[in-house]
Amino acid sequence: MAIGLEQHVEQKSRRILGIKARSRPRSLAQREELYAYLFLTPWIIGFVLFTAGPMIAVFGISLFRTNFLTETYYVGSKWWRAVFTDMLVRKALLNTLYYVAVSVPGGTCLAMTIAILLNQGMKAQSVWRTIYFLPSLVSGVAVSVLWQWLYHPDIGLFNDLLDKIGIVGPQWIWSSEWAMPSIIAMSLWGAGGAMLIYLAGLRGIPTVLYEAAEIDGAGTWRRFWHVTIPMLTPTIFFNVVMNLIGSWQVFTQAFVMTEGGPNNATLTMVLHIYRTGFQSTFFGYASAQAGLLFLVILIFILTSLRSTSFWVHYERV
Amino acid sequence: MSKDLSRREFLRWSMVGSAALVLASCAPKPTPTPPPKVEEKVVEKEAEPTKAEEKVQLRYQSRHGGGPVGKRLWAAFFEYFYDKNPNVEVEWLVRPEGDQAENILSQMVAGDGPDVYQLCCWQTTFFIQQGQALNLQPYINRDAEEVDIDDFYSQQFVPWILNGDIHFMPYYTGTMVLYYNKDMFDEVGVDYLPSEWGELSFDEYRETCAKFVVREKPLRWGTSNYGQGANWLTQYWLRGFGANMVDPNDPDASLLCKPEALECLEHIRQMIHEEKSFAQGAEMGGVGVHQFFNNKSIAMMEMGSWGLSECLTGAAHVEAIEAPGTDWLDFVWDLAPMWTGAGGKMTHQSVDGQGVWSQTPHPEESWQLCKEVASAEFEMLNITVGDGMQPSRKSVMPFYVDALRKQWPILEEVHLEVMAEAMTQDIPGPEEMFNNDKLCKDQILKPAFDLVFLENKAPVELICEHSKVVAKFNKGEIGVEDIGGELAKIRV
Repeated sequence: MAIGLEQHVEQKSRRILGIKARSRPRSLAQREELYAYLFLTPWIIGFVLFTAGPMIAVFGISLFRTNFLTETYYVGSKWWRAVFTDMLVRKALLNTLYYVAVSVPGGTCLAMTIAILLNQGMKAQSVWRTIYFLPSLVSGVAVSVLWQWLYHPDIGLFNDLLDKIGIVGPQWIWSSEWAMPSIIAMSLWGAGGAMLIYLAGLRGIPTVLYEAAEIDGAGTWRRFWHVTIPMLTPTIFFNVVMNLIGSWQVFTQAFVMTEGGPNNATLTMVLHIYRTGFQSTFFGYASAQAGLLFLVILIFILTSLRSTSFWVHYERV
Repeated sequence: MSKDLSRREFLRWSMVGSAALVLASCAPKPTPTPPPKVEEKVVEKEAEPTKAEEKVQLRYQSRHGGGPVGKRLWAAFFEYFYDKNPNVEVEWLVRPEGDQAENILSQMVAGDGPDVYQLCCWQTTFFIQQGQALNLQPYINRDAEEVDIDDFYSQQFVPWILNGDIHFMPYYTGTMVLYYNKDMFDEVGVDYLPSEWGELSFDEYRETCAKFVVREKPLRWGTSNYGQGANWLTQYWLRGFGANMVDPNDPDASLLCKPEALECLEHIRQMIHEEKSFAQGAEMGGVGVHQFFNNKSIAMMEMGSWGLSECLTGAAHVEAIEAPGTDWLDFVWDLAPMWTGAGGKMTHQSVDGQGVWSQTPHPEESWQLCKEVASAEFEMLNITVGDGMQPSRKSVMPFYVDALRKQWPILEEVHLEVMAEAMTQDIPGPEEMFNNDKLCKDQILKPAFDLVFLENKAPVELICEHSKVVAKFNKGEIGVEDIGGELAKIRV
C-alpha cells in the first residue's frame, strides 16, 4: 500500500534513530489531538502554577497558623471551625450576599434593557453602544474616586439633584444604612459589558420566530415573553453566572471608598480576607475564609447549573 | 500492543502530577532560625575587600517615587556614601505600585526582602513586631558618637523600641502645627493665634473655631485634620487632655476608658456634630483637608510640616531647587503651635524611618547605609537638593528654616520656628502603637469611632467598651476569630 510523504519521513527517521517502529501509524485524529495538547500545554502550566495551584494551596495553608515569616504550626481544623462561628465573617458574608442579591438581578435587568433598546435599529447605534460600554472599561479605583465625588453630601451631583426637588439627600457612603446601597448602585454603572453580550444574543435570535409569532397574532409583549426571553436564556444564564462569580468577590469599591465602614456596613468577604491576611498576618485563617468563599460561590454556581433544565432553552438544530 | 494515552487519562495524570507538586510546595516552611544575636558576633567593621568583584550588593527600598527630586537626592547621597563605603553597591528601588508594606512583606516571605527599607507610621512597627527588623541597638552603641542619639527629638524612637532596643532609624520627622488663614481671622475679627507653645489653651482654640462656623452654603468650619478616628489624629488630642490611646507602659492595652480620654472624645464629638466647628466625615465628603484650607472652607488646619509644600506649590513635595516660585494660596497664612490642654503641650511627630531586614546577609553594610540616611549630612542634602522634608535632627533644623525662607521669601512672615521649638522642647509625641496595631485600630476600635465620630449614633463610652476588647485580644484571652463576637456583645 502506498504511504504518504509524512509517514515515509517518519518511518525513515525512526530507522535512522533506531526507534522501534510503531505498530500502527498515528491517525490524523490522533495527531491533531497531540498537537492540541501541545498548544494547550503553556496555558495549562500557567493555570496550574498561578490559579489551580494556589487554590489548592489555600486549603493546605488553612490547616496552619502562619504569618509566613516567623511562625508556622499545624492547627488542624481550628480555622475551619472558626469561620462558622466568627461574627465578623458572618457579617462580611451577609454584606456580600446583600450586594450579590441586589446587584446581580439589577445588573442583569439593566444590561438586558439597554441591549433591547439598542436592538431597535436606531440611528447611530454604534455610538450609543460605545457610550454604554465605556464605563466598564474604566479602572475600579478611578470609578470609586469619581463616585465618591458624586456621592458628596454637599456638592455631589446626586444630592444636588435631590435638593432641587426638595429632598434632603442621605449621607450615602458615610452612612451605615446607605453605604452598601451606594456601592450597589455604583456597580450598575458597569452594566455595559453584559449589555454587549445580550446584544449579541439578541442578534442571534432567528427572525423567523418573530414572523411566525406575528402571524399567529402575538403582540409586542407576547413576542418578548415567548420568543425573546426564551431564546435569550442561554445568554442570561452565562451573564448571571459570570456576574455571580464577580459579585461575590467585590473588593475595590469597599476598599477605596469606605474601607469596610461605616461600622463594617460595607465589609465584604474579600476585604475581610485581605485584612486578616495582609494586615493582621493570620494567613491560615485568611485561607480558611477564602476556602469558605470558594465553597459558597461553588454552591451558587452548581445550583445555577442544576436549574438550567427548568428555564434555559438551548436551540436545537 | 501499546496502549495510547486517552484524553481522560492524560488529564487525570496531569492533575495528579500537578496536585502532587502543589502539595509538596505548600508544605510549611520550618520556622526560620532567628538571626544570631549581634552581641555574639564581634561587632567590628569588616575589613574592606581589595577587589572590585567582592563588593557587597545591597537593595534599598525607598518611599520615593521615580520623579526627578528623588533621583537627584539619592544620586547626590550615593556619591558621598560610596566614598565612605567603597565596598558597597546599592540598588536604590523606587516606591512600588500599590501598597508598599504588602510589597515588602511579599518579598520577605519569599526570602528576598530588601536589605534596608524605608516606611512610615504603623508600617514601621508592623515589621518590627513581625521580627523583620534587625536590632540596631548594638550598632548604635558601638557607633554612638557618629549616631549622636541626643541630636534627635527625645521620643523619636519610642515606636521603634522592642525589648528596650531600637530597631529603626529616622528618615525625617514632621511636626503637627496649626496652619491658619489670617485673612479669615481679619474678616471675623479674631486675634491671630499666639506663636509660642503653651499660650493657646484648648478652650480658646474651641471658642476660636466656633467663630468661623457658617451653616449656609458655602459651608464653613473652624478647623479640621485628615479625620479623627482610631488613628494618630485623635491620639495627639488625647495627649492634650493627659490621656493616651495606647497604654505607654503596656502596648497590649488601651487607656481610652480613662475619664480624661472620655472627656477629650466628648469634646471632639461636640465640635463635629453639635457646634459643627470641626469638619469631618460626610461633610467633607472625601475632599482633603488641604483642599478645604485652600478654598477657605476652614480657617485653620491641623497639619504637619509636610503640608508646607501643598501650601506653597499645590504639589506633594517642596522642590528645594528649581521651584516655580508661585504664591499658590491667595490669602495670607501663618503657622501656630498646637493648643495646650490639661495634659500640657502636645503635638504629633511623624514616624518615618528605615530599618534593616533581620534576614539580610549583610547586616554591617546595611547598618552603614541605614546610619548614613539618618545622618546630618543626608538631612542637609534633603533640604538642599531633595524634597525639603523637615529634618529629624535638632542640629539641622536651623538650616532647614533658613533654606526654606531663602527659597520661598513668603515664608519670612511665617512662624516656621514653631516646628523647631517643638523638637528642642521635646514636646510629645509620636504615634502610639498597639501590639497587633493595625488589627486593633481597624477591626476593633474603628467601628466604634465610626458610630461616634462619623454617624453620631453612639456615646463615647462605646469607644471605651471596644478598647477593652483590644486588651483581651492582645493578652490572648480571645482569638482573632472571637473579636466579632466580643464586639457584638457590647451594649452601651
